[in-house]
Amino acid sequence: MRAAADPVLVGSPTDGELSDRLLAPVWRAGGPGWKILFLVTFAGTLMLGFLVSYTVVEGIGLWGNNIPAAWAFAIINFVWWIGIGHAGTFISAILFLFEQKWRTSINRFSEAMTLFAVMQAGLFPLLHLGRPWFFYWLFPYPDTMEVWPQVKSALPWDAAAVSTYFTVSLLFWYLGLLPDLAGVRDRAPGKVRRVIYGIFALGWRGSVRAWRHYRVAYLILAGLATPLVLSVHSVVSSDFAIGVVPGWHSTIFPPYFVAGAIFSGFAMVITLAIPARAALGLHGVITERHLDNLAKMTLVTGLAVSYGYICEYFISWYSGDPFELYQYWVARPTGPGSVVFYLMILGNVIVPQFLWSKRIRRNAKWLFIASILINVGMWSERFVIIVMSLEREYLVSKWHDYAPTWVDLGILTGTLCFFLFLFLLFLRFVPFISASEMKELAHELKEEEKAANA
Amino acid sequence: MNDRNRDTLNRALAGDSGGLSRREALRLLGASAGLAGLGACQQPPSKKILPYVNRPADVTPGMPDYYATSMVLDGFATGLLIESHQGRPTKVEGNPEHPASLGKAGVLEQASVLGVYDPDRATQISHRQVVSSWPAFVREVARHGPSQGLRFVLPPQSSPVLADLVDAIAGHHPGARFVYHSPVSRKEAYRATQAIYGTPLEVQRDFSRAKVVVSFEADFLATMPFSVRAAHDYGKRRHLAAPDGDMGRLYVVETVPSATGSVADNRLRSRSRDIWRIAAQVVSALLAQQAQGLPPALARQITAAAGSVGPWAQAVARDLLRYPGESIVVAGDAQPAATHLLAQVANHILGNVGKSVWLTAPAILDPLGDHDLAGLVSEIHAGAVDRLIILEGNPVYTAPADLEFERALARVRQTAHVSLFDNETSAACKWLVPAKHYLESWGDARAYDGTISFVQPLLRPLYAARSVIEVLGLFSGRAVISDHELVESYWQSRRPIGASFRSWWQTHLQRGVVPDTAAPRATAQATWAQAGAILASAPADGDSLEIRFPVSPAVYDGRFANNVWLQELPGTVTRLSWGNALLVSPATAKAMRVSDTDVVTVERAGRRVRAPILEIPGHADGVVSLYLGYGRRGSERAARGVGTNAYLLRTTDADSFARDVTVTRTGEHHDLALAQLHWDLHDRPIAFSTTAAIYRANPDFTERARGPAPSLLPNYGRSGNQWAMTIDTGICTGCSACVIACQAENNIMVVGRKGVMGGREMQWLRIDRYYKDPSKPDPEVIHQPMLCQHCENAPCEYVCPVNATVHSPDGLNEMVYNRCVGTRFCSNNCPYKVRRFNWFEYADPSIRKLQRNPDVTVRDRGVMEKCTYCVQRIRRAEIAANLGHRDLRPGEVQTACQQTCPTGAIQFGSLSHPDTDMVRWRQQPRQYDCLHEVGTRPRTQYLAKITNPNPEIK
Repeated sequence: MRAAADPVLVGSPTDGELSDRLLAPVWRAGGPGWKILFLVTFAGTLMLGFLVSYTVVEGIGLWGNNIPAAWAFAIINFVWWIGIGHAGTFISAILFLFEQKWRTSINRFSEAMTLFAVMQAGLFPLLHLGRPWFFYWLFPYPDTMEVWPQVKSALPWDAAAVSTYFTVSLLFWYLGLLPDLAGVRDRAPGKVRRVIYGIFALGWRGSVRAWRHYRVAYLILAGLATPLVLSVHSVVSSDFAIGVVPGWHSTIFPPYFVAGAIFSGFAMVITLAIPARAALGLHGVITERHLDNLAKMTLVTGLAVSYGYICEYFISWYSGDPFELYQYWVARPTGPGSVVFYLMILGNVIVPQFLWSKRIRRNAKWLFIASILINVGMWSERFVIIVMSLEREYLVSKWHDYAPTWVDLGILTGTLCFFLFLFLLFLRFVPFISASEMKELAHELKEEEKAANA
Repeated sequence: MNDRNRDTLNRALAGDSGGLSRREALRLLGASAGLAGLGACQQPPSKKILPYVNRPADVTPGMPDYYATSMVLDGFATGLLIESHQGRPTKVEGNPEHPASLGKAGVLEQASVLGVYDPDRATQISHRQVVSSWPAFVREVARHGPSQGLRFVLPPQSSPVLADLVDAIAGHHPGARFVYHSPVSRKEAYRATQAIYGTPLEVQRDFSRAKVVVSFEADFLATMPFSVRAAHDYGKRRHLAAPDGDMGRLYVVETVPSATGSVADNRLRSRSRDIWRIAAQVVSALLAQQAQGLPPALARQITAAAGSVGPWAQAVARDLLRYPGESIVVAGDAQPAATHLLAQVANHILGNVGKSVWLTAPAILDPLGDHDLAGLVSEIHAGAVDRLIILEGNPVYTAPADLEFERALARVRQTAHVSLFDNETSAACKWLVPAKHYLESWGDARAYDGTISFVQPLLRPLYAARSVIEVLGLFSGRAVISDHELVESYWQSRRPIGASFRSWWQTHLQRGVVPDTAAPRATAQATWAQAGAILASAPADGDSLEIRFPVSPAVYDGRFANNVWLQELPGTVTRLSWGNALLVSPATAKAMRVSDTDVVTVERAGRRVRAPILEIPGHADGVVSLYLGYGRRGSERAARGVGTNAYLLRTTDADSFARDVTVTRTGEHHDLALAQLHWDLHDRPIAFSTTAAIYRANPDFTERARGPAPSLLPNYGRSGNQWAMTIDTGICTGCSACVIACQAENNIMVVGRKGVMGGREMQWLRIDRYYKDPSKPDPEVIHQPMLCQHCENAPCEYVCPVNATVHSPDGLNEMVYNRCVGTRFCSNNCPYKVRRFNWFEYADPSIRKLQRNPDVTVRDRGVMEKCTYCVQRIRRAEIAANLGHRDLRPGEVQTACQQTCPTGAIQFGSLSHPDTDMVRWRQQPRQYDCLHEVGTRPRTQYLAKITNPNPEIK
């Protein structure tokens, strides 16, 4: 136990102090910074709404997609956002099952991040359809014509996996939120807040029975969410791996995609945690130990991603397949948009190596920069896999470059804004650090200290 | 309504409501409500309408009818069969009985059906931009008596009816003159034959038997008159059935890579002005072996002009001499008379004349062009012309720039233009009479070989349009009658003796052609009277940069520029759509320090145009070329402003190529709508080619790309008709008639320049062009028609999440538009990239929609589409077979591409019919599957391109 040197909770606050500290933001008015950010992201969200409507009305010809690159920004963004979501589930479910104490202060908002990221991600498979109004044909609903989805394709599985993931994440997040919603109900000033939070608290009384059920349900959901961390991105990866496209057709894809997803997710947690911690003065709750652990996870998953790259390159050489050789050794490093390829290498291979250094891992500023670069790198990776593979497929005559349009860029920016918008709302209206779990943690730490002192 | 109320109402309406009481207001309200209904109190329509109880004979809703007619291009008719759905012509096919077609059709014929529905057609007779009427025009014509100053400008003509009218007009207006003008002049060919035989003659050629063909810039397979027939014969001749088969040899000397050049066995690049000298060298080498029959003086002159004979010419001459009487030497229309003369000299020396080559009287009127535009313009300036009638054509756009035809037109007192479009010339003329499209007209014409062909309308004119002969009829002094009456009465007076006119007329109208009316072989003897003079007039050489003005294989001379199918058709060798570019060889581009998309100024004799550069491997060095037909500025919306107008550089003395051109960079760029950006095969098993010698020695050279691919899946048992296609890339010229045929048959929409640049073209069938060794200055070209391969293990099928693309029991890869949600996974997973996506709502809401084939769904926005092997034709044939209680016969189903392919390179049918070319071809050793190793087991298979280059030429 290195609690003295490396606390996961600074000081030994009482329950009341913790409650005040962690629940207070909910009834405190947002500061000017929050308001400006809120307005900016709200404007971005409106733009997203406009661009989505524009696309649905006019057709996805508004995007830069073409034949051969029939998939581009929409699918890149989808995979990227879904990947980001993974860290939340990983932190809240897998680390919960492994009883990692340091997860407590960051699990709530990483779950929220998951939820909001999956919401962004879910937008794209819908929007990228030529006829989005028939999206439900991908689901096995009882149709009078008895036409079912085609289960050999990865896409119905994808639709199922993503919707399951969203549902489980939502339930998990909401369930974990219940005690704190009740806490807000009990402590919030003003009747309106109490009524509203009271409704959302579903009548939580904090009885032992309730806690017992809560524990069981939380454990079950954690158990359910855990395989999802692995399955969702495995299924997403089969959107590519089942294809014959050189650069897609690879058995390494499922683990490599899962690693990439968690990698990008941790990077996004860091990206969000560092400014939130600074803005809300939560250095005592989100400590350097947390940053250090997050950075370590990022490093490990980053190495797994690098290993995936090495495998891809090795197999392309080892197979001797001329199409793959061209794709990996010529098209990516020297083809159109090769800058993106080098951004990927920078963000996903080079930047994580700096995380070997403890100084950087514990330096919020450097870590923040690294996390941004990793996010960029992971977005680039999806661009490289999806677009660059399609640009240089089998038939030379149909090699064609891809360039995004302003609508593509607008939608990507729009989802970033929408994501931050939701996150800002979350920071403002929901206890973004689990007060109940923090209290539990404080007690546990105290007990441990006692035991150690005794 | 009584007066008082009316008063009140008037006051109220005038805004004077001061005196309006509540009572009055209510009364008015009631009155107006009551009166409002009165408007409906009219008599019901008194005309009777008839229910469709007893249908007219020959019309079954849903069943198309076919009518024979002919499309006339610069005087030469090509016989066609037009598919008509309840009075709407929708599709063009060749007329199997017509000698210029034999059931095949070229690009322009295929696309012509869209022309009738062009939304930009001129619709009203107008005088000085004010709507007028036909009677007003008739009165205007009649107002003037016989006149000396009457002139007509019209495209070259072969119509007997028109010839008769010309005679009548000459009788009525003694001074009237006819100028037959086409920017694609064939005058040089006639000058050459006149020099040899004393009278202009047409050279006829039989490519079906020729062992050696030498072409001096003659694109006889695609853009010359009779090229559909030539391609048909050539395809039959060149298809190699076995490794040891005989395929003959084709030599092409040319400046700009053409369809013919792309299938040559030996191709030589040369500036246009030097080609006659290469011809002279070949003839000189021939003369060294065999000189009888030619005047010694001429022989000496040729030998002297040729100078030292290079190894290429020597080798060609030796090859030609091996097959006396079985070769053809042909010169292109753009070449000077000297080249035509030398080609004919070679044919004489080789004994081809009377065998593979013979002569007939020209089908067209005034072949030498006694009256030309230059003469007309000087007459106008001399004040000798008071009435100028321009019948079709667009001389303001196409006339040589130095004539300044538009300025001359303004000096003529009365001008009229009979035109399909309100184009550049119409704008400069006082009267505009909309012309009938040929699918709306009655008429007749001769084919290149002289065969009489009829033009009969498929629909009533959509607008107030008149045909050329109707307008000419006004000047003939005869009664004003319709084109139908003109044609019928003309032929009534000339019916064969003894036959009943009715039955003769009906039979031949039905067939579209009068058989056995080809021009008889001319018996004129070669006197070589002016041959020396022609030879002496041959162009000089020199180092200055040359510019060549080839006719566009898509929009021709510009008259089809508003046809959106043709605008979007990628060029045979350029792969460029929606515009033209200054074509240069890579070496010349390097020397000029320009590259693709650089905008340059081309200057010649003080005239200049701006055009983007496009490098074309195989283009001659020291020459730039610019397709005619672009840079239009008429009212046609699709054509307007697309590309560069090459006519601005053309002058009377240089109408097909010119020297002393300068090209300077402007520093600007212009994006080109190229349908294909990469053409290096990267050694991939996509398209195969080799030489006949290697093929003989190693017939299995495509072994790695054929045979069953290893698969973990069990073989799916298939019985009954199994549809498949075999394509011989050896005889594909890249002419693209199939692309347009497919577009017409399958309701394929156009996407415009931006769409093509964005990689979103919709054509289900495209012709990929590969260069076998692109670094060479003259690389071998392989054309590969690429369409849905109907893979037995189709990668598109298993990735569709909604079962929208599935396999049919008869081996078709089916696309279910209704079920498609548009994930586009199928396209990503298609190794051949033949799937097309409706990125927007592409369906054209204009009148062009009348062209659509009712048997084929018009696809909605957001769905995938692709080649169906013309499933609608398969099903129609199956229904017919079922009704007849029989099985489908071999060859009963033809796809649109197969039916029109002039060389017969595309064969389609059922694998259960072993006795068809389609099946026989795929058993040849040179068969291969495109991307065989991907394991898709395509039903569309290819035959490797085999060339037969002369081993003596390195």
